[in-house]
Amino acid sequence: MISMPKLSFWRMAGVAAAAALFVAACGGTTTAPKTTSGGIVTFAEGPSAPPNYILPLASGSYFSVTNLSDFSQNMYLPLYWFGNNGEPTLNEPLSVANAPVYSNNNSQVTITLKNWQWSNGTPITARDVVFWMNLLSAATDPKSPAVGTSTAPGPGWGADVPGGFPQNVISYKTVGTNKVEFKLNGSYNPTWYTYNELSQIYPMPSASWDELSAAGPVSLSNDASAQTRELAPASFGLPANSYVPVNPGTGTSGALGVAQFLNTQSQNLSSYATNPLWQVVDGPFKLNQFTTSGFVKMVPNKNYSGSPKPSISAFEELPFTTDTAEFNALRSGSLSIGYIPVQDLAQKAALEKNQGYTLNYWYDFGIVYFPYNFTNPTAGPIFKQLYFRQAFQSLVNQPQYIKDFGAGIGTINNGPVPGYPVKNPDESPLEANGQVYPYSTTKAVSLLKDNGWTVKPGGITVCGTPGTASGDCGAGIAAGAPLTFNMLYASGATELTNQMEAMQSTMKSVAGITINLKTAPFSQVISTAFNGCTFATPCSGWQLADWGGGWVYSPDYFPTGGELFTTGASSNNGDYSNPINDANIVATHTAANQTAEIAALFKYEDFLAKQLPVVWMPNGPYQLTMYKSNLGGFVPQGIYDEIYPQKYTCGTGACPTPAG
Amino acid sequence: MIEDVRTELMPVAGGVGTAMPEGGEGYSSGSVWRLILAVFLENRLAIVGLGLIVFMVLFCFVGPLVYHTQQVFNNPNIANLPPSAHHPLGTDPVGYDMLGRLMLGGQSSLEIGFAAALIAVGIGVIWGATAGLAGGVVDAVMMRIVDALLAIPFLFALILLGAIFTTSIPELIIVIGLVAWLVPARLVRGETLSLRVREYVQAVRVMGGGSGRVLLRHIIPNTVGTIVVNATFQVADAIIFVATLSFLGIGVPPPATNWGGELSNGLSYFYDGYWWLIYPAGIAIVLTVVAFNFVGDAMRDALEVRLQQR
Repeated sequence: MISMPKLSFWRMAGVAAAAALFVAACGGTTTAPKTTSGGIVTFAEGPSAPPNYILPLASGSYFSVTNLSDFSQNMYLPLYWFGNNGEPTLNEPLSVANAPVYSNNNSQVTITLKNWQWSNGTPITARDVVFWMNLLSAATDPKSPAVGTSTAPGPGWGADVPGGFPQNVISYKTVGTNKVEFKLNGSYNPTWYTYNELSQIYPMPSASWDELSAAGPVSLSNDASAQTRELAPASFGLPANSYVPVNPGTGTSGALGVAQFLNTQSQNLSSYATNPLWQVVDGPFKLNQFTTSGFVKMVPNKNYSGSPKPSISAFEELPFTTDTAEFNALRSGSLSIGYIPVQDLAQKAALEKNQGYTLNYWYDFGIVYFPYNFTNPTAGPIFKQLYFRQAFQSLVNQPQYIKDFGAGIGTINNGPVPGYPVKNPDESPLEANGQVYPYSTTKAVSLLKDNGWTVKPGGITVCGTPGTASGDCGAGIAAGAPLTFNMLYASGATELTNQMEAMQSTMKSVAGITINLKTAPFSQVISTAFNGCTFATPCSGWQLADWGGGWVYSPDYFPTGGELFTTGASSNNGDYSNPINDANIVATHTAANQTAEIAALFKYEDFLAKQLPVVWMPNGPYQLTMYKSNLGGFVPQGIYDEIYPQKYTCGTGACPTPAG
Repeated sequence: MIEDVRTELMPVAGGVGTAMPEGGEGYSSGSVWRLILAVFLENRLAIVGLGLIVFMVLFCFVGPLVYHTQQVFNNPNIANLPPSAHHPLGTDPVGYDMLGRLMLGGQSSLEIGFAAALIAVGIGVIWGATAGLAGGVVDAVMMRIVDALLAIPFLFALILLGAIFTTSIPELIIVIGLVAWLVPARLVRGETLSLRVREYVQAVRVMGGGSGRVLLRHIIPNTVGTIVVNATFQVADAIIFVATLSFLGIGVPPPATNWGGELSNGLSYFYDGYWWLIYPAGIAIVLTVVAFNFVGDAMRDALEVRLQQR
């Protein structure tokens, strides 16, 4: 019993609960009483991190918590909602569909939708799921023509993995109005497939959105061309047995044309509140106001089918450029939900006493890191050297960052699987028990010296022995090449700024590694760093980039890392590529039982803990949330950084009247 | 050369009500400068301002030679220490000595201030004098360009340019200089419109002097009073601008620093009572800017003939 993996238990419990609810649902529907307490709940957005994309079909440049979890998911529900009272499990009551049913040796899935409806009163049907699948298939098809630019990316999908969903689907079709049937290209671990693949589905209002231009017409046939699928030719470079649409369309026709139209509309921030497209929702809220600076006002969707119904009159998200500005608002008591910057933690008692706040650490199921751009023509050859990554990681003083900049809150990060929830059973002993590459200046210097570098502490370390033999700098590194890198990082967060400055100093003083720091708002950092960099299309615009967060495992809720570290994956933004790692990840998808699943997961994470595909940074709470003590329904906070404003109730003083 | 300055300096501000004959025959060059100096020294605030500027320059550029601190490599182990004998102004959030940081920040603030002012005044003088002297369509086009650029909010333009360019001291100098030249251009153009109809300018033309000679030898030297006065204000403004940019996070990247950046960093710790992160940088900015304004005011008084006749 002791060896029973608790996280897997959570997942199984979630599935069991879902099954029970499915059975219950067959016996009749339940309705929750509607409360009308009113009040406007104000929610602080992250520093310099306002939402800038509303369409759930988001490319890597927009695939952020601030866009999806905190913004669009309040309006557009995923087919399956994950996060259940703070636990990392499927939440079937909040899901649009009943639990998936696997058959034919787990190679076929049947999904049955609940009888929910869109805000305009039309039902959410199987066709709306197929509509999403068509758009997703077109947007992730390697043969789709390039659409968009690097500064205004075309439609894409931040969770895209070559050979993954939907390329591991032979076919999908509606069966009646409420059922969708998927035939898979193999037998998969149902837990993984539900948590990481079906989790990527968002039903979309096909009756309102299936158009190629604002002038319309809306037609249920615009996207249909992408539904016919074929085995992908070898020339596509996809894993064997991958399936793609025969005709994904173009930028102006077919499913890709529809996706591109919606993408263009989603990039037009100033029209969000007035564009009729975005008024058809299935989530608990609909958009009422939106400014390009990031102010958001959402009001209840009166036709929301789920439960509980929103009881507040509006939910507002407020933008801030710095954590200091946000803290000033918090001190004034004008926020229902905000956050206390870690450097101001000493003010907690005053805020609790004077403004009626309560502190709640928002831990999430994620990891903190920043990537190397392996495709960068200058820095890439250096980043590809394992000894360099080991040296670099050895100069990241995680204990000090936690102690001096994080008020002692946080844990050392060693690998790709989250350390939270505490004693996470998916975390391998190697990852859980200590740093694989602890802070060690002597080790870092010796690694560089042993591999052909002329180390000049305080100066500029250069390659002294080019070549590929043992003890040489490595392939692609010329004699005299300096260890000088550009680091782009997110502005506005004091803790991150301090980390960057400390790291820069250590690198330079100890090993002669020059880090040129440059700040930019969060959205600019991720649009730069998630720019489709691959070795076929390398990116020279960045070398190191830290947006200050890392990754929360959503929608890849089972942390097998496919979306982050598989070769060519959309969110593998530096394009780390290792065939052993790819094979390790695939092994987690097909594990036959729970023991095999954990063994495969441990093998995967131990390998990456040693390989350092990214720079591990200290894990800590996603946010030190301060919320009005009388705000009902707020805790527990979402473990995938999701929020539940439909549960909020305004007690005395919990919903201060917003200024203006 | 001296003659030109003597005779042409006076009429610049001669205008209505002055008894000074055009060409400035009444004084030798020495007496002119003595008069200017005398008027300048009458202004006690100017003396204070000048003293503050000298102090700041010595503090920032000579200070580090006397007070040695590590300003390249930080030490988080001694972060946020309050003032003590070892660190007279305490330490900052990553462990830099704040007194040394203040000196280093002052260096870049003053360097950017002086250099940006030089660029702004240089461009402005050439642009304004050329427009004023050419007159007609050329003047109209050139000044409409100035008007159009002036319509763009100054801070917005600075932030935009700061975001486009990678910020370093040379780039900040160029960015601020490129945005700040508009006011001196208008001032000099106004002066030039007045000067170009003077008799000595017409005499030069009658004697075959070209526009280039008129511009460089007669117009621009006679706007020197306006230029110098405006330059002092430009320095003060540039220090404010660079502080503002740095405060908004578009300043020089670490380990470089300037007073605005230090102030911005310090404000993150405002509620922790770390006053040493805020007040020294804030006071340095205020004192330096006020000092340049005092000096600028006094120089305007000294170079203004009408005021000399009080």
